[in-house]
Amino acid sequence: MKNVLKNHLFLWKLCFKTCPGYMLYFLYDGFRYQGVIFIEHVLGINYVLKCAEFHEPFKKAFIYIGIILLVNIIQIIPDGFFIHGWSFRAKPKIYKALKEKMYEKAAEIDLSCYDDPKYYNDFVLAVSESESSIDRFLTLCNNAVQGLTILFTTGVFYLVVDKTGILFVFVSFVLRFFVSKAMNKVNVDTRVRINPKERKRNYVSRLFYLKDYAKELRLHPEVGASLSEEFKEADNEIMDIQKKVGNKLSALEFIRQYVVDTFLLDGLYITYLVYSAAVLHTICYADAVTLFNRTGSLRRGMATFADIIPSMHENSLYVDKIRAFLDYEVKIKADEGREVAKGPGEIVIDNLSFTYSEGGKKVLDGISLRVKPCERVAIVGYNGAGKTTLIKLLMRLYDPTEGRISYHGENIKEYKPRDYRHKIGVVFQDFQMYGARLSENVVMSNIDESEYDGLKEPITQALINAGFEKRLKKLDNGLDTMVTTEFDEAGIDFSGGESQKIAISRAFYKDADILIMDEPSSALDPIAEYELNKAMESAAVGKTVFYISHRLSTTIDADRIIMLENGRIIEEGTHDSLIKMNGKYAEMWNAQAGKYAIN
Amino acid sequence: MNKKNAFKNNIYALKLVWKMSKPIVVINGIASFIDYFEWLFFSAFFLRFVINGLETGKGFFYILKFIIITVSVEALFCLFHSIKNRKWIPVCKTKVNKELFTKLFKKASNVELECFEDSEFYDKYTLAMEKSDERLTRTVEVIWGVFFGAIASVCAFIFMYQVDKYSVLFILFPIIGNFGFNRLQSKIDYNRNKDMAPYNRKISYINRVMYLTQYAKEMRLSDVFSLMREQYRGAIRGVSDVTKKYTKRAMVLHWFYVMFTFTFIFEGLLIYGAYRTLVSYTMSLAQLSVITSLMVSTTWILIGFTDSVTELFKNGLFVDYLKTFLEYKEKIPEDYDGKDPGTKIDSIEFKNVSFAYKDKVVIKNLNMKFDGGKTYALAGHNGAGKTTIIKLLLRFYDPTEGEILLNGLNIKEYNLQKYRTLFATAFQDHQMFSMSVKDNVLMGQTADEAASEKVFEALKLAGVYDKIMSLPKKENTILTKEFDDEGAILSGGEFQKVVVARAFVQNSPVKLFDEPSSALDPIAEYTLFDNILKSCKDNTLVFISHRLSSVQNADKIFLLRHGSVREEGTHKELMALNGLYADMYKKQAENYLAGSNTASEGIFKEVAQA
Repeated sequence: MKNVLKNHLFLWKLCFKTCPGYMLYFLYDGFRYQGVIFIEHVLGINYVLKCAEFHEPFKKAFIYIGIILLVNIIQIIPDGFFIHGWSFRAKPKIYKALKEKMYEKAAEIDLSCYDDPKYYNDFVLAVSESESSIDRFLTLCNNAVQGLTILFTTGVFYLVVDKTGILFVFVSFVLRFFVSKAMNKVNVDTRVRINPKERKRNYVSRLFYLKDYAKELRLHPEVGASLSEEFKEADNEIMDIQKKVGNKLSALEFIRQYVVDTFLLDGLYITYLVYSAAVLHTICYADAVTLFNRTGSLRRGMATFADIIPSMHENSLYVDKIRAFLDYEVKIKADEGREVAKGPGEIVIDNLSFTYSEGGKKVLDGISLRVKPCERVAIVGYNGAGKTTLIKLLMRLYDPTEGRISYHGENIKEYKPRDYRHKIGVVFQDFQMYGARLSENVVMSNIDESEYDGLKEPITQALINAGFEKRLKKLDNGLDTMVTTEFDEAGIDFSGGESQKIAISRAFYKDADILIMDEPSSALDPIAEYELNKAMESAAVGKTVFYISHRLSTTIDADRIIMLENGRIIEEGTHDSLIKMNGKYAEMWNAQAGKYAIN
Repeated sequence: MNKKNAFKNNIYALKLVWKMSKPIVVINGIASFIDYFEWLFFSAFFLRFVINGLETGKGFFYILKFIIITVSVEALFCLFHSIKNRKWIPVCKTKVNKELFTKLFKKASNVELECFEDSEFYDKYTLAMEKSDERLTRTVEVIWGVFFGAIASVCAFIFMYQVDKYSVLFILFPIIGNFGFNRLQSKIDYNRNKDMAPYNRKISYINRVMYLTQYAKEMRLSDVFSLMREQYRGAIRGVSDVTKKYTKRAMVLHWFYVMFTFTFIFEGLLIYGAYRTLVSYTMSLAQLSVITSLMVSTTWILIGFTDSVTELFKNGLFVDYLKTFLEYKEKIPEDYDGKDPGTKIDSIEFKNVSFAYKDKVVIKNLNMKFDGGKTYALAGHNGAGKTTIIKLLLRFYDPTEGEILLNGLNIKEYNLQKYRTLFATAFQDHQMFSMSVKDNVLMGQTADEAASEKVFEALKLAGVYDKIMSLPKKENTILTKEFDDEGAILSGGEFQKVVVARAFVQNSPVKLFDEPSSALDPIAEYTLFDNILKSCKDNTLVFISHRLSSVQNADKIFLLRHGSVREEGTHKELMALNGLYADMYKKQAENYLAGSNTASEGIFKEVAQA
């Protein structure tokens, strides 16, 4: 419970800090709403009935209701602004306050977090639930204030008019609390039992719903049929569970609805009211009618109030995830450390080992390597030999389990990661395009409008160097072309080859000291690959270069070729020396080249 | 959506649910009736009876008897409600879920593939599918809500009229409020939502970029985060600006709505009642009491009724999506029954085939012929139409013009599913299912002892046998961690090999391989092509590869350009032709052939010279 409160205090602080005025009005709104109802439906009606019962002058009733009318006319003016203006502006602001925090965190958490499925699932859940957890919190606040207002106003009214009535209300409230608690327990148990079956259901419907699987299901209709059967089976199991708990839940619901509510309040309490009014004459008609009418809203008030605790518990589960995510201690902090010296420096890799999970298999195992400035290194090897991992460590996306990497004579851990990574240009196979202007897709950063004109020249040059010139000329909006049709119908989805060129232009633009290329051409046709390699040639001038490729012809001229196997360097040297050695590299080379050599 | 259509759609939904679960329709109807009945009963009759009893001095026990009867009947109602909410409806909803999704799945796997690629159709399909069981049952609830809400409104009207003729006039206020101002208000809401939509789309896009794994690397290596953040802020500002445009008008309407719907009728009736009792003495205290409670329930019944009507229209749109999808007439029904194609392939022929995809011509006047038992390779640029040919061959699409013949007969004539079993296919973008490795290879073929042997054989040919055997449960290991925390996640290369194994295990006369080696290392690639050629000796084999060294053993190579065959022949013939194929081949082969010293390709060449 303490944690639940803490979580909601966290949300309150966040909301209040972002929009203090709005939050205060928000609380006031719950009070206002129930307050007005109380004035109108309890005080107003009661007063008029009393006037009628005791033959008071009409003027008194007229003035009383007139005042209520006036209160209503005025209080509803800010209400319109609150609902139709303020909320639309304040809520996104509050969402933003939380989400920007989460985004910032998402951009700096260690990449290893993405490899941990449990962490990643929690992370996705936290991001996707952040807005709704705020919504739920706001609803909770509003319900709490409304419930309190009802209990308070009605409580005072009962105290003044008929103290005994409170007894009925109190008993009803306590009983309801216990029955609700029992029901909640059953509900939670049921949820736990149904959840895995629902997961199955969701999985199957996702398969039928995603484009990626449509082809598959057409080629193998039997798989679709058996999945559909599994779906039905899951539903049958859910129905069995629902039938089983159904009786118990119905019984509890009946107790709550009938015994606690209808019987106690509509039956006993009203009998008591009638008895007091008709036999004892301790209550006047007006009061009896008002009290009777009030039981309905009182019931609703209590129901909302009784629901607050379980809803808080539920919401808290999500807030837990959000807070755990925000509190995650980042190991590689992007902005801590020293600046990196200018120009390409020597890279020394010393006895480097790495495992993705503790006690797991060593992906890299005792790698040592010394790379001179502007040296060009090719990394080759089998699938799963550790090539990409080595690159990731080099970019400091992970820290090594053992050993160290130094640059300019300093362990790269000493450098500010942001600055260090800025010195590295990368071209991946799985680069991404972003829903933004073409220029921004090259710069890969927000462009200040005042600086934009000055940047156009180098951006265009980078695109030209990457071989994008012809396409660029054909674009009506040039550098301002919107990339992707994500949210601009006029945007352009560039083809694979074109996108690749844009990705390469990023490396050109960045003008980094180290250039890393991780199989950039594996999906390209021979001609496109040829063009890509030509573009790469010029990008590589004056830089230290690492190139991973399965196409050995592309790396033939490297100053050094590193052959990896099971996380170790097994062969190292120039193409010629490795061929002479007649080891694994030579075997690979012959496998690939041999076929061309036949003819 | 016009009124007539909305009405029709709701009836359609009702019929649909009726077929799936009759009880849910009946139970909801009864529940809706009881709800409105209770409402009216307590605000109109119950109170009136008690007060009348008191006023006419019928005595306490007379009233007590009435209360006891009421409370006893209520017990039945409550019992009904309890069982309905906690047992019947949940079970019925699951039943509807089962029936509806089975129907949707059946349809989804029967429509032609193109539907999934047509974004307009696909959007409608996803909208129809999303929570469709809940929305469909809700549609039924709303239909009853409108029906009984209308009756209840009329009853409330009559009751008020009975108590006092003129009090009925006050009901005009909430009617104007609900049907007049509230309608105008919804129009503003609609426009505002429409204006906000692009910003919300942007917000959700950025949200996705922030958590999807594929963006994580770039997010760290570049400053693209600041770009996304700025876009996010811009979208939030946009939302705020849109709001400003509508605030004033909405405020005014809101004021009128609340005044008319609640304040004027409540305060008006109170003053009117006070006047009648205190000044003109034409209303009794009992009547005044009943009026005060009736005015509240009448207002809320009216609101409930209006809300139901609004929702009815909204549901009409959802049902429309559902209906469009379920009633869609397939162009290529997957269950198309036609001639049995047999299992022998003499020839497959593309005759003057053209195919346009979303108005873009992808295949133009294509003529090609595959003879049974021979090996064919398709080569060409990305986007030359190679994969589309495979898709046309599998009859995922039908040609816009021309025809494809199998053994001389148009493939449209054959039973589609039987026709497709002629082909074993390995696409680049195949997907893994959350099943065992064995099932992922067999893909629906019966998994008996003999099948196991076949699976092992296929995995060996694909070069992934050792890897699979190193998994905790070997070939029975579940893939993906979807349901099994022990599930295995394969790397891109291993994954591709399992996909290839699928094609090996299938006993089909034709084998199609689309870039089976793109993620493989040279040795694995070499072995794989070797195995493909060896094991498919007796099959008709068609494969696509960018590695031209692997295509040279084909009986015939088709070089495609802009959707038609530009060159065709054996490797030798095409090299002699010295055309596009030869150019491509040379570009790729140069380095392998020439040796390193005279290399003219390779990324380090210029540096080496510099």
